[in-house]
Amino acid sequence: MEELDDLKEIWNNSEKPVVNLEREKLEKVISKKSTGILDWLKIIAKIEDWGNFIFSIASIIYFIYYQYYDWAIVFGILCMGISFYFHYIYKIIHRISYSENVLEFLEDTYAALRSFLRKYLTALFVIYFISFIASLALNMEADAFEKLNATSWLIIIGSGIIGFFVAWILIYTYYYLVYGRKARKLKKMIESLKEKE
Amino acid sequence: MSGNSIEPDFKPLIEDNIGIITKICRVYADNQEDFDDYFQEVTLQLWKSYKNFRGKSSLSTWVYRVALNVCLLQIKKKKRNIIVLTDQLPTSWYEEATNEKEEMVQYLYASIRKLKKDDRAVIFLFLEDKSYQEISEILGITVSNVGVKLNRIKQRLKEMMNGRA
Repeated sequence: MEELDDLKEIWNNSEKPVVNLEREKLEKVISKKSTGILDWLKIIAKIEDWGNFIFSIASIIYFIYYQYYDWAIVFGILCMGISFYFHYIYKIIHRISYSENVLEFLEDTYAALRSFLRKYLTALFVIYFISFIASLALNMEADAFEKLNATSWLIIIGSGIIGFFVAWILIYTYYYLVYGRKARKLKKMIESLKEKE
Repeated sequence: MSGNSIEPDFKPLIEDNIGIITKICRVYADNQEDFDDYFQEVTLQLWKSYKNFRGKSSLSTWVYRVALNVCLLQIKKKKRNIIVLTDQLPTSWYEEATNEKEEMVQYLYASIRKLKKDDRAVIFLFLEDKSYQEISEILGITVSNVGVKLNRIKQRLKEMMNGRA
């Protein structure tokens, strides 16, 4: 077999196509939607951003309708915070450029994928915590807790904690089903590139 | 620049670099359908990135970076409507080799495709006759690491090529 350095010659002479592209075809290609994971993440981030916005508005309307104005304000502020956070992640993804060097690009994309997990967990924590406190406060206002004994309290708090962990697990499962495989592959590639042999 | 209208210098850019794009796609694609998919995506991302190309690196370094980043990240999609940009590319990709040289090239590609995705990028740039410095700039790893990796990958490739009947 030829030495690998000799193969360079074969390689470099193998394909030097002289091509005259059709402008119309090129225009069709650049008007296509990308199938790259980054563009996919941007779309998902946008959908979730809007989803969060609609959920926030609906919740605030709900509180106002039932005249819980304080809660409408608290919930509104927190949902707005989450919305800004979602928007911040969207901007991070938007800044990633295919022109970066390979390692930087892979690291940024991996970080963007991980930020999705953080975003879900943050949203879960904030919404769950606020909903739990709100339901306690609203029930207190209605004197619903007066008749509760220690066991009932334990059941309420216990089911709250269990519910939280179930939601946590569901989020992890969702993350790994949607992004996990890709994230793992990216991590492997980054480690392999960085590896000092 | 607006909508789908391409800048006058973008078409020659693709035509001038079509050899690079073809080879990179061929290194990462397992079949013709994948190849067309990668080719379309690389062209699309070159177009999108071209708007922001500031000339910090040379044009060819930039083309290598964009094309490699696309191929390393591309997910295999279910069938989609692919526009085949040109039918003037070599067809040796999926046809039987007609001579020894073609056969050797096909075997080289097949061997490279057996490597890890990031290793393919390193050996591809080496075969493109890029210096260690250039490979380091495109991949974002140190020059010394390029050297060490290349030694290992060349050895592995050599073993595979020697295994050819």
